[in-house]
Amino acid sequence: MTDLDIWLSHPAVQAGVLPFIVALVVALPLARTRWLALAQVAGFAVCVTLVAGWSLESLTSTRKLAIIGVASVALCVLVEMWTANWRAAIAAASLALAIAAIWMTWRVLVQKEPGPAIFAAVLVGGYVAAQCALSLQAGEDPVRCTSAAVVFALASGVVAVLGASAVLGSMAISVGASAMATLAIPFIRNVPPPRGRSVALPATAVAALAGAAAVLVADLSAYCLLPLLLVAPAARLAPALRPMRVRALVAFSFAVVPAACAIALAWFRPA
Amino acid sequence: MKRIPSILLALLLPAGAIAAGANYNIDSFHSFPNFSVSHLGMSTIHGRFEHMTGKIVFDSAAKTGSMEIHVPTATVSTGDAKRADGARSRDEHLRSADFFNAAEFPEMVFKSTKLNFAGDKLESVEGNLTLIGVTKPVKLNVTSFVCGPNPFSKKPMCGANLEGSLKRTDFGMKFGVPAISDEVKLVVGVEAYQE
Repeated sequence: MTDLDIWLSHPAVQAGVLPFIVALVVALPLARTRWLALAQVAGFAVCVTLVAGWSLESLTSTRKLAIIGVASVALCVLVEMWTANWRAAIAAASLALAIAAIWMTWRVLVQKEPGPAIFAAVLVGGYVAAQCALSLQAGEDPVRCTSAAVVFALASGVVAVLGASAVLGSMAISVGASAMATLAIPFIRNVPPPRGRSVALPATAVAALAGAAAVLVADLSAYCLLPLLLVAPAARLAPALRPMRVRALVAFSFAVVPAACAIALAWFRPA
Repeated sequence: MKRIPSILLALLLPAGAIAAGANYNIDSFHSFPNFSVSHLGMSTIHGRFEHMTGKIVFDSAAKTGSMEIHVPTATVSTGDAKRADGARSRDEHLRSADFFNAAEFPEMVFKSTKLNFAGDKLESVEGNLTLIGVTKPVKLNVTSFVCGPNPFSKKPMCGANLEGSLKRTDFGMKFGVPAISDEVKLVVGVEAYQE
């Protein structure tokens, strides 16, 4: 193995360093537009390339997650273009991601008896839809929304790793790192990012899907995801302080509390 | 005139019975697929699957046969089943979507396509392995093959050891390469009883 091979195969590089750098490069020209979230997809795509690859031979849940993550670009565009009825837009986007979540876990669902399969589908779809709706509702304040998305994605990645899937964990952590990159530019300039409801949608979608997948195809207990539903609301509770940097840091600290609870639940599992 | 064909038929029948392949059911208690991979280029990690079922058809006279083996992927075992702290064990990791993805693909299947003989000796078995939804050809070399009655029960049985290797990335199992080697060595011990 060459030094480059060793570096590229390091989990921290695959899930953190490279996605952050790529997202930062893509975010620079988008920093003053409402399309900043697209940089999150770029960072995610880098992680997928390194960790899992893009082969579609045998569509596993992980590969479906990669496809949905990239397709979230289209969802961002639709959400931003849909200006007429904002509540309908949130509902439509949440429903789309719920259906995507069920599609992602379909191969596991069809192996269950009908009752448990429907229950699992409702849980998976409901969790992803709820996270999407919470993210879009919080989008009116892009600083707190993106801060929440960073914490949510990183925490989802950690619980997925604790749930025995490093691939799902890496994917979630990569969107967290990418979301951090999209926040980094406004943070450095101390200027809030432009208003864009979908500012955290790709990161939230991928992280929610990774967590749901970790429950069905790895060893994560479903109850570990419950505190993560409180991450976005916790960030919204943070005071909307004037300097953008302070607002982001305070929102981070509020969001970290439920995230830490989720990680603790995943770590201290019953024997 | 009618008796002649009957006599011929009577003479031919025993020969036909010998020529037909015998069916064998794999003995799950004494058949295990084992594998090994290089870890960090430092040492070899060994593992196996705890359960294996299947059927073998074997005709030594005609030198033909077939083998179909089913292995539940959730039975993977590498000696690290559970850990006391919150970290997941290696076996749990192997069952996850990163490796065998047991939840989505509960079974891997090997179906033979050809049995190769060197004289009277079974030399290798070629077939297709379906793992994580991907089917690729795999060749297993027969290192030993014995048929005879079980010394205790006297039931007719056969036993074999087969060895081979595959590249797990061919099946889409990419995680951890090259820290965990792409090449996986296989050693399969099979015992089967005639039906």
